[in-house]
Amino acid sequence: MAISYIGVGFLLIIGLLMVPVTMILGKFFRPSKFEISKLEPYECGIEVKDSPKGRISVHFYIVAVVFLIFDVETVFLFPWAVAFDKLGLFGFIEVGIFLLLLIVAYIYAYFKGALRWEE
Amino acid sequence: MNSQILINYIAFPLIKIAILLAAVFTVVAYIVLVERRLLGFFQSRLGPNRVGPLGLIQPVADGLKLFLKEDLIPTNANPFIFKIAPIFSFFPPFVGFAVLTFALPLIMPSGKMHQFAVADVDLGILLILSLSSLGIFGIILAGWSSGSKYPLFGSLRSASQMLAYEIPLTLSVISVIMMAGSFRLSDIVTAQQTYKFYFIIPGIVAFFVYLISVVAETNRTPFDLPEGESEIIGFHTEYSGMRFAFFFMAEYANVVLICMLTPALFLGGYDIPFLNDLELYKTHPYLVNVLGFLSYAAKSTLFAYFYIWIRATFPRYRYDQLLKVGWSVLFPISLLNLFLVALIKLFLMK
Repeated sequence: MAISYIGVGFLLIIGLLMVPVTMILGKFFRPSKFEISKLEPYECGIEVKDSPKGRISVHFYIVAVVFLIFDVETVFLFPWAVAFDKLGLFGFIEVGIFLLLLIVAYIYAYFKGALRWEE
Repeated sequence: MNSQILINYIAFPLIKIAILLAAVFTVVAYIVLVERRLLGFFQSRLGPNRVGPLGLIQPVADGLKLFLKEDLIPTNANPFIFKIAPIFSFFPPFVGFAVLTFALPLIMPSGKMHQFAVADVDLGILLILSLSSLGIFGIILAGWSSGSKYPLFGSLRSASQMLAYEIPLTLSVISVIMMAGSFRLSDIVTAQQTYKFYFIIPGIVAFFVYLISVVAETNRTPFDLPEGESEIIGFHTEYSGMRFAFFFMAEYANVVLICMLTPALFLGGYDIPFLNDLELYKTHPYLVNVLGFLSYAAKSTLFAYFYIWIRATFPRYRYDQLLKVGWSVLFPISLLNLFLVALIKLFLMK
């Protein structure tokens, strides 16, 4: 029943408020001494030269795309898993065909090198 | 009538949340201490034992210290996103605790039943899975908004690690859902009680895939590249003081949540081993409640110890090895295992 989610809602509100409330409370206790070198980004002892918003390896994007495909697949599997008793053998074969198509996609991505990192 | 609704839907959940949060914060604070002390013993030293008897006040001292630290926001950072990133990391595990059920329902003398859960909702496990995916936002936002190279790279590494291990994790949880036929956590435990065996037996492969994936999802050793305390610089490099403490607490809250979720999925949760719970529950309901809660606590503690144990044992993976294990070992295994479990369910579990 939807009404039972009320506890989840309360906890969500408390969880979201916890960080800001603690930070505001902390304002009254913590020191605040301005010093420009404290606010510099981390670097191993030398001065920061280049901007962090540079180029990023394309691998991250490929992995994200592959993840998207297979994550959508798992979303399709949830309703099948819950209704497995009712669907029986018919559902099993049908999901088997669906997964087989995705396994082909996985094998393609694998041999194309989308999931390999060492060059 | 109106006051009845107020009591049932507002007051009871709030009381339960108060008890739950008090318990969760205590456990989260003390699992840090237990971990430090146990790691000490593993390495033939004592660990923190100075603050209070056996070092028991250490977590309070740590928390107070971080609370009193100066709040620094680097000049390069995007202040708004920098401030909201810890929120995204912090709230998901705490909301996840709401759907955990700790024992069979309590039967009041008036005949009313009370669940030992804040909200025993029908999509419980799905809620936990989707919340745990939300944790990625905290990491990405923290790394991106810091305005520094190393946190950005750390957050990207961390995000693609969590993506790689999320699919094996979801697939192995799906095999449990299939065996139980429900998303509700109390139904999953009840299914194990009625089948009279735990889901670890038909789902032994799923169990190990799940175990490896949750360690990676919670960013713990041997998969702790996001943090890598000593050598690698992680996504929260630019964070300090209380804001860092929230990331730290989120990590340990995730560990505690997983330690409490794993027994419910694979080891029968609050089921008492070697006893027919459902029969005994009809004659001695309170005894089963207490014993069930204790057995759940014992199973969870076992997993908490296991977590610390593997941290003390294994060295860290290299990044390409980590993704290789996720994508080319765990993913095919968990997919094949799903077929296997479906066949077992179809022909053997009637």
